[in-house]
Amino acid sequence: MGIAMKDMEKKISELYGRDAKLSAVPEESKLNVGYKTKEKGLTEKLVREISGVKGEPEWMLKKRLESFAIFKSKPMPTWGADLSKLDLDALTAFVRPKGKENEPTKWEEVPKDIRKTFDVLGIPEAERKFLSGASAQYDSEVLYKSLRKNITELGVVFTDMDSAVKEYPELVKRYFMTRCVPAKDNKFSALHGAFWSGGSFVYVPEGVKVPSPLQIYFMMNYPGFGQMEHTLIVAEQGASVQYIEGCSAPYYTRDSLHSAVVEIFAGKGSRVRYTSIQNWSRNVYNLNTKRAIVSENAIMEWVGGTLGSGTTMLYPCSMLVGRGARAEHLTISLAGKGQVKDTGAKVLHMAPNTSSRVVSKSICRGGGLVRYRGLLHVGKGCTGVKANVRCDSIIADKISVAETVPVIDVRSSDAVIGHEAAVGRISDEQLFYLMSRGIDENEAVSLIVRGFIEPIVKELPLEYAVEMNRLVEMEMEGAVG
Amino acid sequence: MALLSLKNLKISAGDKEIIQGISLDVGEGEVHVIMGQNGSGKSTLLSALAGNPKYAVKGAALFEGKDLLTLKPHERARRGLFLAFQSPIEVPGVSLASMLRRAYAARFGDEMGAVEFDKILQAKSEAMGLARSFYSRGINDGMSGGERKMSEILQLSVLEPRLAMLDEPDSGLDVDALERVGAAIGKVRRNGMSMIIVTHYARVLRSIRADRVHVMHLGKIVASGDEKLAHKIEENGYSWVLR
Amino acid sequence: MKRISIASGKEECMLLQTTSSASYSIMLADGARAEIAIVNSAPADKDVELKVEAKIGKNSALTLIGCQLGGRETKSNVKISQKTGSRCEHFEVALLSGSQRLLARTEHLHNEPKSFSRSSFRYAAAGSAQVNVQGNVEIARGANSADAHFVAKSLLLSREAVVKVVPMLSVKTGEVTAGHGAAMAPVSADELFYLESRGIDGAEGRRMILEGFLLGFEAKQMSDVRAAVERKMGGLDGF
Repeated sequence: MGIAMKDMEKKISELYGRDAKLSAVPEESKLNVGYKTKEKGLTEKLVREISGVKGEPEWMLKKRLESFAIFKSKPMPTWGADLSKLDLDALTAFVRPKGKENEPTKWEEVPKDIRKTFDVLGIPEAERKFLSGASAQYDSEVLYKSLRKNITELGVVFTDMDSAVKEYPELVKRYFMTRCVPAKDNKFSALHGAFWSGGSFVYVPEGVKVPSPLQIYFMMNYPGFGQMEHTLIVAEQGASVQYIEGCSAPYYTRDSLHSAVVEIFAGKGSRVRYTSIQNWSRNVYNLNTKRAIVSENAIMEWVGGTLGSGTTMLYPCSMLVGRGARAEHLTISLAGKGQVKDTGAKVLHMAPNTSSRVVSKSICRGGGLVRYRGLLHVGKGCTGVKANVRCDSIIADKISVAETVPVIDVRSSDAVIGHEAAVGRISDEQLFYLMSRGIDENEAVSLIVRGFIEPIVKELPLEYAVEMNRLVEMEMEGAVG
Repeated sequence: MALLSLKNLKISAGDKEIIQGISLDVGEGEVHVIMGQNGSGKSTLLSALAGNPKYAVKGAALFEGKDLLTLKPHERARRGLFLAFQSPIEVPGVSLASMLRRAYAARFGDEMGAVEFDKILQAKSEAMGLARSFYSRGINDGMSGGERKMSEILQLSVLEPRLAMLDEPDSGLDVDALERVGAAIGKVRRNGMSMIIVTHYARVLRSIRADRVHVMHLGKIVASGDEKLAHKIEENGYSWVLR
Repeated sequence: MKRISIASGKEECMLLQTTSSASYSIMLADGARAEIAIVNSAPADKDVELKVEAKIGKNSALTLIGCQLGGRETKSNVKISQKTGSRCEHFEVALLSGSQRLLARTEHLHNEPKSFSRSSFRYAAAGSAQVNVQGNVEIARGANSADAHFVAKSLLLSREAVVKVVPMLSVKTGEVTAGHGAAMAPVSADELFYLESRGIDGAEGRRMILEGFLLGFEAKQMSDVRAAVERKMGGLDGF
């Protein structure tokens, strides 16, 4: 008997579905687009236009212009995934959707086509059951807000980034692209610094523990659109917060760019969990910068799945700057036909007694490529560091590729570091074992794959876990609905 | 009609012929013990009967009168042929409970909800002195040798096969684990389950009675008898049989 | 360039000691077997460049041992390619002290089926030595049933030593078993205590543990390799 390779491929193909189906695509003219920038291409004029339309204070415009200058001066990165097909100038930034004038606060008032997408993602139930507050990002501007009273009563701020600039200038000035992800960090963070729009601002005061996760959804709904939301999360001393970001996008013919930045400040003894499930459609370039500064005895957790998009470069970074700080990175990565997932984790141990754990599970099939790029750095004098990395890959057929490039750079003699990776297809032994219990091949493969990603899925809130398993099984279809 | 009927079975892995022609009949409700030294091929026999794709099998094997060799492993399992592995593999992240629920549904055509099935599983576990935590974790995940053997027997008791093939259920166990596994096998046997037990030692006979004992050497059955044969081996070793 | 050819069906053992830059081209014909140990014990003020290229023929087996003990700055470049059914055990051992530096690059390619490899790299750095290693094990498409495993372990013996390891694994087909690992830990206090409870004092205990760390593998010429390592260890002040 033996499970022939082609049967294996067929089974996994059935499991994950065929190539992305086209969902119904509204014509450009029929989209309810309220405002489109007059400038096409990335120019200083565009920066000013965007800042003007948003009615931003002078200091933010200045920041944007400084970023733009840096962006112009930096070359495209020469490493990582292939970005040659990405034409930055052809992108149109910033679209204000219809309906902004009368911002609704009730779910029923959200425009129908947006609600439909959220229906498919199962959001309404989630909203009723356990959202603390949800903002829906629709083409760069927040359309819908609903904040529960007890959150505001605790002193927690959860609002869109545009409003935060105006309403909490001191906080934003202190944290926004200063120490965490400055514009000069890389070309895409500079691009972001100039053209960012939308995103969330979360501020949790000292000692406050936010009881349920804060959630946000993004939709990229305009062809050739550049999504550049900025998420800034600040947890003061002893605070605790969970933030969940889900992304989806319908299918379009022109390339889209997602160049978001996430900055997180985990204050002393705080605990921040950032969960991100990305299921962009295939034509999206997903190039984000996500970074956390983790202070003394704080815990930073990155939990995520990158399932969709065409090309992803994503390396959440934890900077452990305080004694006893800890980071956990748990990620699932899937790459199917034509997809490249160049992802990983960066952990910088910059203080003594810090610890970290990275668990990365990848699956590639149909010629997809998954690459794990990790950086584990232990600085001089950082004694008592313990770090562990586990990155496993399942390659489901003969043509897909999994690569692991871990960089382990240690300058402290008592660090205890472990790094392990196992690569290969689903083990024959495991298959035989399950089949010897009467479970057929298809189901056995399904069970094993679920088991493979279980360490990450079990850290997701229940509804997301269900959703993640469903998405993994349907992943190769890409489009929503 | 015998439950399992093997006629001149030859089993090879790649170029190597491991089983050189075995004929054996196991009747309904019988317990057959197969003994032999390492390398005699006894584990291979069971693994190949369960359908392990590693092996090429020639000859005739009938299970309940129907051809076994054309069936895939899961089809054989659904017909009621169960293999308790000598070194059960880990399948991390897949809970024993959820796997058994599917296996149960596949075997008996009875799709049960998780809660309903949990009741059955709990009853069977308690009868073996096992806690719920035992089956809610990943299959064999972090389990000691003894625990893995108990896991196999638990699965056996849930899936109620027609013929249970136990591959060295007593190997690698300490005294306490031996007793527990032995007792568990004995309990399952009391319901009349037919068994083939492969073992190196005769220890297992302290827990159950064997109807036939066979000795294998270099891929062939070289002696058959009753329990007395096993006791003689326990006293004198194997060399006298192989002369 | 030193050419080493092992003919079909032949078996050879070789110990190559070098005190300066060297280049080796190793070819194993089908069915050949060889164990080749290359020991770099260059003087501590000399820069060394080492190149090793090994082509392992069908169904042949190579055990390659690289032992870096000398030189001021050593640049080591190893390329290994394996044909169908071949086996390779690649051990790299380094014990550096003072201000020695090691820049090591390894490219190990499986591009034919049923090739088997085990790569085990052990680095110990004392004083203010620096180790910078990049190893790449690649399993190409079509190399079905290849089985590769790559482990890099490091031991930092002093506060100033630095180790940077990039053990890369690139797998282009699913029909394989592959894994890699890297580990770093200080000399284990438990192990030291165990030895002390057997009457072995701290300094000797550390030496034993270090030796165990570096030389915990099987090789026909182990005694020669061990002798070289012990000579180096003898030269180290309590670490």
